[in-house]
Amino acid sequence: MKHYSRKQLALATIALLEKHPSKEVVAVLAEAIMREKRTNDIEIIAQEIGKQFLLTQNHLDANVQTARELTPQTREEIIDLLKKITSAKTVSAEYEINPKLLGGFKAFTPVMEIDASLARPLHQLKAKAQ
Amino acid sequence: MLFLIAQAAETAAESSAGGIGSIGLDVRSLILQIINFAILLFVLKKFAYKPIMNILDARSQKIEEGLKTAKELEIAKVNMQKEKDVLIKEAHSKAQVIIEQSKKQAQDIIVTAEIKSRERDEQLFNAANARISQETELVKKSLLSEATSFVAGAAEKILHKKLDTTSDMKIIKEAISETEIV
Repeated sequence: MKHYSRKQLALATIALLEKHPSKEVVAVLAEAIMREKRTNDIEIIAQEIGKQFLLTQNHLDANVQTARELTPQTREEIIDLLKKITSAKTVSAEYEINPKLLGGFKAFTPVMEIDASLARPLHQLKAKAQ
Repeated sequence: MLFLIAQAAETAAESSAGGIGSIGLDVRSLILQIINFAILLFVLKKFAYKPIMNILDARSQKIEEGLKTAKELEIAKVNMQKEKDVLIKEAHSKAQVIIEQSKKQAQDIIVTAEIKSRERDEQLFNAANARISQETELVKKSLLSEATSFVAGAAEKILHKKLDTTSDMKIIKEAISETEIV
């Protein structure tokens, strides 16, 4: 049985997504991961797919967390920021409410993570105190 | 010889009847007494004088020896006294030296003990100082930790309650502009 690298799996997934619906592609990818007994690597593979998406398609998948619901204008501003930083042409963002952040925002992408939340300095302060 | 003496006595008696006899002396008895005395002197010299002299000589010698011995004893006593004095002097000197040495040793022991005691005190003082510093540092850290935790907790609660959407959006915008600058 051939063992594929994460990059190979990511590139194959991107190629399939161009021709097939995402549900089918995800099912095939899941099957391959199960077959190769690499369920522990799922997160890293997903990250690799995002990275390859950015490199080949100039597309970025992002998860944005805030303490409160964002206004459309603020959402736009965050998307623009992500585009600027990663040089992506398009960004698909998923928004989540996380009251633990207290304020500000946190953005997770396959290539980087931005933590501009108010919880961060407080956590740092607590960690320093301990 | 005795006969000759008796004849001489008789002759003397006869001739003295006129001379010495006139003053009341009996020449015959005087001569006999002289003869008796001479005999007595001879006997005494022969049998008593020598042993007595011998005894006296022996006694005298003994006395001389005794005196000599006494003198020697006196000299020995004086010598002994001198030796005794010298020995006592030496003993005194030795005792003085021993006392001085003992005093010095005692002084040394006291000085050493004092130094050791001072060193031990210093060590204890330093250890106590170090412990106090350590404890102070721990207390400081603990206080700082508690204060920081308290401040962080308070800030968290205040932010939860007081931060509204408008302010949050403002904060997000500021964070975006700061991130862009970076």
